[in-house]
Amino acid sequence: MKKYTIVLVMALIFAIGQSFAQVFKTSTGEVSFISKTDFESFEAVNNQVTAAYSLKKLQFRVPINAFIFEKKLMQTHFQENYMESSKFPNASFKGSIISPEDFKISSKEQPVTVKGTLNIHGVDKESEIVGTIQNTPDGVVLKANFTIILSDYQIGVPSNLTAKISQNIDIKVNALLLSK
Amino acid sequence: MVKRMEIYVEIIKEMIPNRLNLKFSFIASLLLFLSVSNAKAQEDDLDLLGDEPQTVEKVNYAFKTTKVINLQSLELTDYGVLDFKMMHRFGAVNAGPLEAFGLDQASVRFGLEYGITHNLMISLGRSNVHGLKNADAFLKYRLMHQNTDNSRPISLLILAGTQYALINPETPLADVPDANQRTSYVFQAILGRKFSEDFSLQISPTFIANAKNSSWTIPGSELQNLWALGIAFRNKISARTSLNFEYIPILTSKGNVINSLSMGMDVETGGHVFQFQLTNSAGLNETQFIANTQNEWNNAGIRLGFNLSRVFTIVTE
Repeated sequence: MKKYTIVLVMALIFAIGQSFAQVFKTSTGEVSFISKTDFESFEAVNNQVTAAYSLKKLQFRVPINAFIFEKKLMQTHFQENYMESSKFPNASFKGSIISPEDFKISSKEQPVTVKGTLNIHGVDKESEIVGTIQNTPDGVVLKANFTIILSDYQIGVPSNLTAKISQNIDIKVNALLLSK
Repeated sequence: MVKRMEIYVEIIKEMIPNRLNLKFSFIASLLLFLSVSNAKAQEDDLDLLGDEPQTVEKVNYAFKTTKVINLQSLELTDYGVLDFKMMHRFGAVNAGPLEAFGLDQASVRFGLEYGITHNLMISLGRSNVHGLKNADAFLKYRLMHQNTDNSRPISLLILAGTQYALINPETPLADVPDANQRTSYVFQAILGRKFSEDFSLQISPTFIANAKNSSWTIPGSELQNLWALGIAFRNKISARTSLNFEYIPILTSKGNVINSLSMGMDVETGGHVFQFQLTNSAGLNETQFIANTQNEWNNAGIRLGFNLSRVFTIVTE
């Protein structure tokens, strides 16, 4: 019977260890973007991003209607015409750290490459995003800067506005995740 | 999987020194396998984010702008936004070739609209319709905003407006009508629903107190106070264009006045919405187009027109 117990306990510890790894989470992460052309630049900021990190895995959920623009009409057009937020209310990312291979979170700001699926406007795209992860006394800080191409996500820009809206949108991510 | 199972059996056998019976080690390894693979499976499709918070949102963009065509729509000027609106109507097509089928004539209203709060807007305007000049103003307030869980299935707005007839300053004083005879009032409720991304429908019960001797009173008509019911819808034909329709039958005695009927199209270009329409009304505010329409569709009494708007953000949140 003793042996039964040993094996059972072992199995239990194994299972717990696997499924209850520490999760860091926030629902107030920040994602902003900038569109720059010679004629017009504009940006929008979203402070309601849900983000989670656990065991090299990273996930983001970005509610489209929470992007705030300086000009209200732009926000309206962004939601209604470009992102079609009633059909696609969220953008999302799910991925894992692929480099460095032996990644361990530490108090240093470490550059990492994350590979996963970026979903914007209902379109999935395999992406590799470079960013940094740092364990600070306040929590885990995730940062990334990357560029997406609108046409990759079937976001159409009318021909008369191509001079004002860039095809290349610079995205900035900054989130402080707390242990859950 | 079978291979993995065998490996587990081996591991267990190794770990148990006396090589107890096979049955025991099989059960133990099955347990181990299940717990590990279960954890593994959980981890693979693990949703770290948890469920999306269920938020009830307001339903926006039932119409592309604050006007359907002539009628006020379910939309308001956004808070802190100043909207410069220009409405332009040509003359009626049946004006004939000398008037270039109406293109020589013009009715114009310039207006400034401003979103005072998220639910209240004000508009000030001045119109010139075939030489009859009026100043007007209205307030439009949203009492109820349709939301996504349908606990509020419709939006409800109310509007109160006035129009004041402007008189040529050279008019002999004795001929100038009293102020109360130059002033008209309009009260309107706007009820409607955005049924789908493409389709929105509204009705607008309206009361108009038409100035008795206003320059806008049709000669020979005793029309003063009236009730009307505006009916309007829009149907999107693409993300940036929609077809609009409105009909405003007068419910009470109407004298010589013809019911206003209009069809139009909204085209959204970058900074503004461009609306163009065919309508039998020359008038550009409620008193004018509901209570003083004089042309008939079936007599080619229709005219081409357009509304332009340009917005300026004054206050940002």
